[in-house]
Amino acid sequence: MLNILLHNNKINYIKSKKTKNSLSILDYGTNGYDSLDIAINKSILDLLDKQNKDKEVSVVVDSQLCVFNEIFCENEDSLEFHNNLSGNNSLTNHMDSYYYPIGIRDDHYLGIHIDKSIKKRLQNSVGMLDCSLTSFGVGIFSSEVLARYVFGAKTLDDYLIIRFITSNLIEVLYVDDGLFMFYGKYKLLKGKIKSLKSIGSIDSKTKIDSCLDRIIIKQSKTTAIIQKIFIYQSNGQSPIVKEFINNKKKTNIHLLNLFNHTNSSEIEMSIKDSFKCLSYAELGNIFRGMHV
Amino acid sequence: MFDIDLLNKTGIQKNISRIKINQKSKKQKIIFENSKIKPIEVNHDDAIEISDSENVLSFFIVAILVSALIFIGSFDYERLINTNVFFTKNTEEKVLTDIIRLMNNSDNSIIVKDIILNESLNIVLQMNDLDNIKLMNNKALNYSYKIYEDDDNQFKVLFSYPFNRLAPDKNKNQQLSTIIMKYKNDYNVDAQMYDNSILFKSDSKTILRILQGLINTGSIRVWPDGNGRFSLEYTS
Repeated sequence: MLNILLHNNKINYIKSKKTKNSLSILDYGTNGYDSLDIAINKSILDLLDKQNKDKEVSVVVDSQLCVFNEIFCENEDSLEFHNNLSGNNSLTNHMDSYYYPIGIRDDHYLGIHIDKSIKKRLQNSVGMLDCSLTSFGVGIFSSEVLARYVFGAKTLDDYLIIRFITSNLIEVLYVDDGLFMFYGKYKLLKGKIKSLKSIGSIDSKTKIDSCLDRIIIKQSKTTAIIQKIFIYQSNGQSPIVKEFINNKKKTNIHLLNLFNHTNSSEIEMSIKDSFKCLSYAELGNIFRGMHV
Repeated sequence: MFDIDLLNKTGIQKNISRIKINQKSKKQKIIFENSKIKPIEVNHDDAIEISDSENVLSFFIVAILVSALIFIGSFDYERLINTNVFFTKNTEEKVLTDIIRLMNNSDNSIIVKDIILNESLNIVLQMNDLDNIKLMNNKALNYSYKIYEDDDNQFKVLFSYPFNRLAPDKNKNQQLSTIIMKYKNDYNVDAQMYDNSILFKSDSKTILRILQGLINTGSIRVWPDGNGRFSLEYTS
């Protein structure tokens, strides 16, 4: 199976084979293209093994290519009413909208909207190669699958995923008691953390804000606020992440490095290679359902 | 926690489920067949290696292309260039998506100052950190940009994307009269006419609908008026 993570003009890929007892990573790498358009049109063709009869493709798209919002509605009918009232219906020609339950309320949803043309062009590209697109995930939510199934997050009371989009822009996702509670985006500016987007309960936000303050501003290597924290970086080399790569002490803050998911001290990697490995975290959807 | 799959039907997703933990099941292994981290492979269109035999083929292809260009040259050039080759529906969708995203997501770190659509799309943004340029250029269109330093550590960044030609298949008078008829009794829309221009003032959703109707038929400028309201100036 070919698994592709689509950033703007860069892709990460993993070729994998799943059996009953294992998942083999056959090949992996990173390709650069001139633009997102070329990456969409050419990446699958470039990577598909012509000899291989397995023609399943799974794609994860960077959350930066999506728009997020928050709505309160009871059912599909009230969503229609909500969209008519807000004028969001005019967007349906251009965007595909999905609403996922967030928090403990029955009427609280996170809206994820994606440019229709990205999905359509991917489907065309896959269709022309006589392959099938088996799943289409979104960056940080796919890395949560990696944390859940490979890093054992499914047994935790609560956990937080922190993605460094760049060295001063972060995205977070918080799960409490198996429920998705909070999604947020923050800017790190002159030693301060500024919230750019927060969707979810106020209690969760307060908890996450104090947790980020402890880890990022006070540069603490551990925290008791949340049971476990998983960190990765998709682009650049943040000094904060670098500190965690160098940290050898026991902590509840873990790097989402799938190439060293057992956190073995025998695996030695340079800082540069560690950052490269972390950029594969968003291909975590291939581990869905595994018991590692 | 749920699994996100955008291949599902759009709308409200009901696939919420608590995680089932079965610690007694047999553990599965992750096997790495090649554990060496590879460098980034850059795939430029012009980075293809050509063998000697392909050189001869390339020569013939170039000869055919030159002949085709001469053949095209004998056609009515104006008619040829005015066909909608440059501004495809796909580009129009991407332009609209970017504008919708900007108008709905303007915050203190990125402020939309001006959006101008004529022979190119020009977007002027005010930002306090040049890292935000990455957010803009991380989208479907690849913009070129110029940076102007403002007062108080603020920057003005002009993003440009060329279209080259307007679409001749749209009847601009018809498009404009449809818009005017639609909004003439709408108390949410202020419209006024001067010189060769019409100015519409309304909320972001209505301005986007007007923009969608008029896009590609003339010069359009959009700027914020504050409190979620925008102005759209259309010049034919």
